[in-house]
Amino acid sequence: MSNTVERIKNTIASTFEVPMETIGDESSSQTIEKWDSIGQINLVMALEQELGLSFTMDEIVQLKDFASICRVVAGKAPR
Amino acid sequence: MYHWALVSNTTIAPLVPRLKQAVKRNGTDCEFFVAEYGDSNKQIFSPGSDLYTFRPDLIVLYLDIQQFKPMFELSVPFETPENRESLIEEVLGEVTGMTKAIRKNTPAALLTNNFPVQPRTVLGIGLDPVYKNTLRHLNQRLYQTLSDLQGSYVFDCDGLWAEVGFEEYDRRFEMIAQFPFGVKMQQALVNEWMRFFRALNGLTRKCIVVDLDNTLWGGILGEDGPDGICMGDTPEGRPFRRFQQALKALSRRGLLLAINSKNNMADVKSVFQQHPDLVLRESDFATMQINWDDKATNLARIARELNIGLQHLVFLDDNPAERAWVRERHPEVLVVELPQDTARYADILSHCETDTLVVTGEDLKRAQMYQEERQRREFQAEAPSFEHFLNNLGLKVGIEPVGSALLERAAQLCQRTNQFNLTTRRHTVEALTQFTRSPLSGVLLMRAQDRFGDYGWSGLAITKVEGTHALIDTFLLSCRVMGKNAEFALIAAVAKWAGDRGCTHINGLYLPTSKNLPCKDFLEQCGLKKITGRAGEPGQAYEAKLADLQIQRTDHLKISMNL
Repeated sequence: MSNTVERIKNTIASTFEVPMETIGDESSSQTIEKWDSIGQINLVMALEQELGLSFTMDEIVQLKDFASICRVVAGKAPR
Repeated sequence: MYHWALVSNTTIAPLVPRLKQAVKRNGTDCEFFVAEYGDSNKQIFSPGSDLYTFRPDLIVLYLDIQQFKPMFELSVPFETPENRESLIEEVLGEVTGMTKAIRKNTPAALLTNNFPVQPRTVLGIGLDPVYKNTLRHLNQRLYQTLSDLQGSYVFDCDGLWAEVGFEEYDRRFEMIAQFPFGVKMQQALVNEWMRFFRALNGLTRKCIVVDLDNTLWGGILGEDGPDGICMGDTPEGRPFRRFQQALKALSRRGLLLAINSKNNMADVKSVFQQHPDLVLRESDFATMQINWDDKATNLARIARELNIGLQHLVFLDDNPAERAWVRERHPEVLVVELPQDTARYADILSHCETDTLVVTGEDLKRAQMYQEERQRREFQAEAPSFEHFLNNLGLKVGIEPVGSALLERAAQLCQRTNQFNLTTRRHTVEALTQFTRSPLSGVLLMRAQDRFGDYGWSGLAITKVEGTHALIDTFLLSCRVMGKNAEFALIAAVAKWAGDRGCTHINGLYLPTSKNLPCKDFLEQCGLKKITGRAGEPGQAYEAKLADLQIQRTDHLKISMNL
């Protein structure tokens, strides 16, 4: 799982062009400037490509911060 | 630096990273500008907006029908026919309002979408045709209106959806930010725009080079003999027949064909003369390299003989080893992966980067011109000296200001000419129109013919008057008239044009590219002297008094000017 968490962190950092060290549980659309509605599309596309999965609308609306992304992804691909 | 703007009444920005990658693969430096949603109208309609100060070379205008008429497909079928008609008018009015404002404020090439027609809606077979026919009618009107506008082109967004399939319609992204494009459709859009980008920037392939055995025909001539190879109207022959028919159509459109094959020339010639099933004939090929040399060497010969660059060649060969070899030796050549299945051979020809924006009279005559060029080369090879060749060529040139009927050809010359092109400025039809409208600038076109045939419109010069100086903005010669000193006739015309407008000096500029070495010394040969250019202006500037200009080497020419 920790590997997946790292990949998620990496994807958020590269999508929004912020340093990876700054990403923590509290990182969200409130704390990251480029995380607006278009940022959300970019993030979903990047996560889907990186992790090889597909989110439903229900799941996408829950992807609001780093912690919730990890939770949703863990729920989809239990390992 | 190429300036590419994306303007949309909905979301478009997520496409930019993909577009950047595609442009980078073409080796072009490009800057992007994006205006979306409500901002797009502000950018389009205010003359001093960021969009226009960005000085775009190309504007992609992506319009979503839902922004004009929400829930279009679910509401239109319930309207009366009159209301549907007025809705079409309304949308057309809005779109042309935008495109005309853009046209007024920038000479950039403009690329607008048509509207995608969904294959089905929830309303079913009783009402879907009403929705579909309304939208198709709107698309037709849109195409006519936008094609009438200069430098404006429509890309077939509807066709792209049909190709990738509507399952790529991403409802999630649409609901988040009105961005309906799934990943495949995003790539399809970028690929489609790149076709226009290449056509606008001289990056189009000009010649398709084909192998013979198991490519142009089925079987191996050397082993199976002329009766054993197949390309007839039979199941095993039809893939090759279809392939040849497609090549023939491309040749009609102005694309050059060439052969690169390991075979005996005499065997091939007799097939071309005697085989009943061939669609293509020897005269359809601008050149043939049929020998036992390696194919990379042959491709270099083909480029040299046709006087085009390796970057203008497409190579089609069924043998993966040959393809790998050519790829390694000539990365500039587009080496197409032929499908495993011969039935798909012809389809691959629509992915060969050979698009042209419009087809001009020169395109339709090109194959014939290269036939004439072959005879000319034979004549030159037999001539005792270059002077003798020139003096007996009977070259005649005519030079006149470009009229509206020839603007497309003039723009095509700007887009396609790489070698003899002093500044390589890719002026669009609209930019050329603006030069012709001003009394202080002019566009001259040159045509040429000799005893072997007509070269068509093959030279162009754009000159601007600044006080007593005439500035050469663009000076180019199509490769087919290079090496005959016709350029000296064109510079003479520029000088006369400038003198008629009270100029005492003539100024030129050489902007080096990787391809335009052939004209590096031209301005100096005409008596212009190197000077320090304007601050920040790249390239080498030149100047001379008009009176000091040396018009030389034109004794062999018959020149008529109608300035």
